[in-house]
Amino acid sequence: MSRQHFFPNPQTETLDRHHFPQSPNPGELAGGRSRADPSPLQLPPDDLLREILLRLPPEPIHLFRASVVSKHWRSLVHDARFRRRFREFHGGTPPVLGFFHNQLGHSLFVPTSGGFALSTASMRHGEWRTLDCRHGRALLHNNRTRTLLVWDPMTGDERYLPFPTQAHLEIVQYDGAVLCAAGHSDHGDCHWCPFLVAFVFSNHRDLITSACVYSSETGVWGEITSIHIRDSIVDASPTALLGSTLYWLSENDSIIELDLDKNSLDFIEVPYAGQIIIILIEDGGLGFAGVDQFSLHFWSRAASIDGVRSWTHRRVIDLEKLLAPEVVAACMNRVFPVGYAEDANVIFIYVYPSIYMIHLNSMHIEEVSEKGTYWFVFPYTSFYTPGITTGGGDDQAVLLNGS
Amino acid sequence: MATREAGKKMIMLKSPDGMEFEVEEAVAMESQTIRKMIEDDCADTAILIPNINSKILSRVIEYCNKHVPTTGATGAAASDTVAPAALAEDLKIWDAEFIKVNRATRFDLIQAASYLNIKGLLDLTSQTTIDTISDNSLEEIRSFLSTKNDYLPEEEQTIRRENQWAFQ
Repeated sequence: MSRQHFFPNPQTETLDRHHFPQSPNPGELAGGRSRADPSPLQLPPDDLLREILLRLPPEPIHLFRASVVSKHWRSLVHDARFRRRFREFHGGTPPVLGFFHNQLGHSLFVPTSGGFALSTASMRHGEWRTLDCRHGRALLHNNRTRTLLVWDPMTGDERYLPFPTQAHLEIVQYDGAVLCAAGHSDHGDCHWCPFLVAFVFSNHRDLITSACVYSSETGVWGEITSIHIRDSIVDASPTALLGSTLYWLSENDSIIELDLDKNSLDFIEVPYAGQIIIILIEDGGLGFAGVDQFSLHFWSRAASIDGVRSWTHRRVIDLEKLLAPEVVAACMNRVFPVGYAEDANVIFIYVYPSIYMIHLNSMHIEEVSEKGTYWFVFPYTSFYTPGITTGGGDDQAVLLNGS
Repeated sequence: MATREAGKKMIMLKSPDGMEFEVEEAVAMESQTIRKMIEDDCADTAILIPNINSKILSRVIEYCNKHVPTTGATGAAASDTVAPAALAEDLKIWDAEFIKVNRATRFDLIQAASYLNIKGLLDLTSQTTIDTISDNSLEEIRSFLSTKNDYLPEEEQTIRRENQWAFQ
């Protein structure tokens, strides 16, 4: 049977070619012989193949391409133990693949990594709004149908949830968060785990902010908890998860926190005026980042010896040293923090007219190729994970049964 | 156990095709497998390295000789006079030359590096294959590895449907 129909067609050529630079020295491929070396060769044994495949770059396209070489390679790549080793080999840090956003004029998802793109052309701004991204899933809201969508772009899994009936949307501002509910610490492969969706909504009139949580395991929204926050309502902005507590920004420079264990709300005042992004500090504490001119400031919240929690100014990064002089000169001081990928520890800074990603572990900075005015972005990070059918086999069954 | 000049401890490695290689113990211990044998006192006179022929074993020893830290003859001389960065650059160039071999030899080297547990050599030999896999079309990878596409058309359709992120 001919196998020519699969990858040589124009559509699949994008897989084969476009995302990968050509080898600078193709003749070297077979030690100076031609590419299509006709001599038969024994494949390396599986343990060696695994050693080789382990060293593929972390972006999902590489393991995916390996998985479609043959069924045998698929079985090696899809093995849950192999994929755990792969994540460990890459330091447990998933690659940033792109971000969702709510800015008109651009598609809902902007890729930042070659080989990963989403077709969101049918999802119009104004109808769809991104609320959050975490643990391999995105949470979106459809204004027209008043439903929430939990979308796993990697596996294509889509779950629609009804709005919590208690949220009277005519008079509220709202935001949401999505997270894995499996209770493990390694969230590198949560695509088939049960999930939680937290929904926070504020009433403009009485300034009561409420929250409730949906569980994919029970399929229902939990009890509502409420709090009165003086002069403030929840802002439509990125969230942060620390342990079992979720954090949202509110509109008057404070942070709203939802303790998922206690199902209770609270708020924290922030000693900073201007746009901030909630981040996680290296030691695992809550923090935020703000930009003043070209100084990126980091603050963290820690308990003093008498147990009082307060904010501490931790560090400053001089963006002028990281950015090219012509970028600094051209940006007209329009510099804001706009997003944060918590599992990759990457902060997104808008520097007119582009977005820059700063990898805080390595201080490596890179420009997002698609320019645009983005107010907030919701980064999407993930390792490769197989789809539900092609994942197949016992490993997938174990994952599903374990969820 | 044999010894040579300057009190350097020597060790004999034997390939299954009967060749013997006398190497400094420090060089041999670049292999974690051999290190364990020596430390466990299983290496009295000579160590037989199964499944690695003399041609490949001599290349592996060549690699270990170059990479042994300071105790190797070239390493010791170089580290006294050359800055570490220059030394690292020199090693990188040397590695690039070293790995210019045909694919059969490369796989043999990967196998040897894996069996002898020499991390640097395993990284080097695997990385070249990884680059080859990343830089070429699937048909070329299959051709390179002499493997066949055994997916049925309907299975290919399922793969497309479930991995649309890769097909945009």
